[in-house]
Amino acid sequence: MMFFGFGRRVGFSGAMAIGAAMTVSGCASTIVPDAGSDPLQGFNRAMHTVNKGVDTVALRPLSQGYGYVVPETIKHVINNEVRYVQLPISFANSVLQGDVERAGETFARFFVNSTLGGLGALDPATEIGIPEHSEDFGQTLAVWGVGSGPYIELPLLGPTTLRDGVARAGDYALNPLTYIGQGATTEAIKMAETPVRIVDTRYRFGKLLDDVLYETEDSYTVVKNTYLQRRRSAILNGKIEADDLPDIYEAEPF
Amino acid sequence: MNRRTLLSLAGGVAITAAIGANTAHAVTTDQATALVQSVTSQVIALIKQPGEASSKAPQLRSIMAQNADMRQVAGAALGRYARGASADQRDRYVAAYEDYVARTYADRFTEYAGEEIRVNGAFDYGSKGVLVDSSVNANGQVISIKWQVRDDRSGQPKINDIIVEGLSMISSQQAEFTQMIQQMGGDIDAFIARLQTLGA
Repeated sequence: MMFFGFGRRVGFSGAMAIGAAMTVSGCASTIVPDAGSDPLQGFNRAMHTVNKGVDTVALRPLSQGYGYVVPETIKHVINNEVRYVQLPISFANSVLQGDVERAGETFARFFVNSTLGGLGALDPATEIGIPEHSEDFGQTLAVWGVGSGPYIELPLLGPTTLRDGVARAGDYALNPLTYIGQGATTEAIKMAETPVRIVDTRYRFGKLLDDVLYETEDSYTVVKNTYLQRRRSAILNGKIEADDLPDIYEAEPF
Repeated sequence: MNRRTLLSLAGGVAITAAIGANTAHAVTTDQATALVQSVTSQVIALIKQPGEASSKAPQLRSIMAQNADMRQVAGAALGRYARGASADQRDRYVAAYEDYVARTYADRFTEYAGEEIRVNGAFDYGSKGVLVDSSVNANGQVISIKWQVRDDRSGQPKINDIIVEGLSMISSQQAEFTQMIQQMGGDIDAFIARLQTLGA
């Protein structure tokens, strides 16, 4: 959910409505919105205030409590599981992007951590040196050439763009957990997955997110800029293009 | 030494000088790598020193001043407001900027135990200089840190930007600073005063 776009669930009717809006708006070919353009800023800033309030009264104290109360080993296992259950989604998206190398590495990671790692409780894949990739359907759509559409800050779900928000429905469809039977355990895992991931993420990025939200002059702008830069990096798989680098000698000597 | 030898010698010097002039403004991948290695070892030594993280800001500030073109970096972070700043405002802003960056980065040392930074390679980006790719393993997480290194127009290789996990320092600061100045109605002096207290 908040701030780095982890939540993946979006109601289908909502997704269809946004999808229709995206078609109408006729997105440009850029993979991220122009940093200067923010047509939904009024709505976004209102939602940012809501999200920041939720963080102050609930998420932040909850994640701090999680940090104090839960033993290190358990937190470690929870983090391993949170990353493990995302692997099938990453794998499917690497395949859809035609990225054989990443698909292979993600499959290898899933296989090793399923077996030696005891269904993801441990992470032997990292120790062997199998790289970890996080691919989602928003990145896949970007690779296919779909433009980002405007930046949106959703209530509770945090920053996204029109494309990446709609794409959450795609990841829901690509997640094998969606199709696994009705047993009590499966249901519990499905219910717990998103909230646990949110608390785990808020805990791990504790100081950084505190700084961004409470130590900056305009946290809305910082969150937006951070999200958009991180998305571009994720879409390009960490590669940097020459145009992305600043030119500090472009203007006259300062 | 006969006339022909002299002539060819002179020609050789001329050619060498011409090549020298041509390459004076291009940093090699080796130079860029050496600079990054020198900076990271200085910073790690500073982190490992005993004492509060915040007390290390002045030393960090001087490491940055020696190895990065802080004045141009500060100008770039000011974005579209750089042009309108007076000479006096520029000087005060650059000083406030250097303090601000040193303060906020020294503050992050608390989360970092001085793990080794590994340089993975350096890539030529033509007119944008060299990008040195490095990574640090902190608490089991591999964090990517990329360094943009360019000639500072006087022949010295200097760091221009640092990109951590895809986040460019200059781009992030530019977004934040220009928004702040806009909200202050374009008042650079008010912004400088605010920058002096930001993150303090």
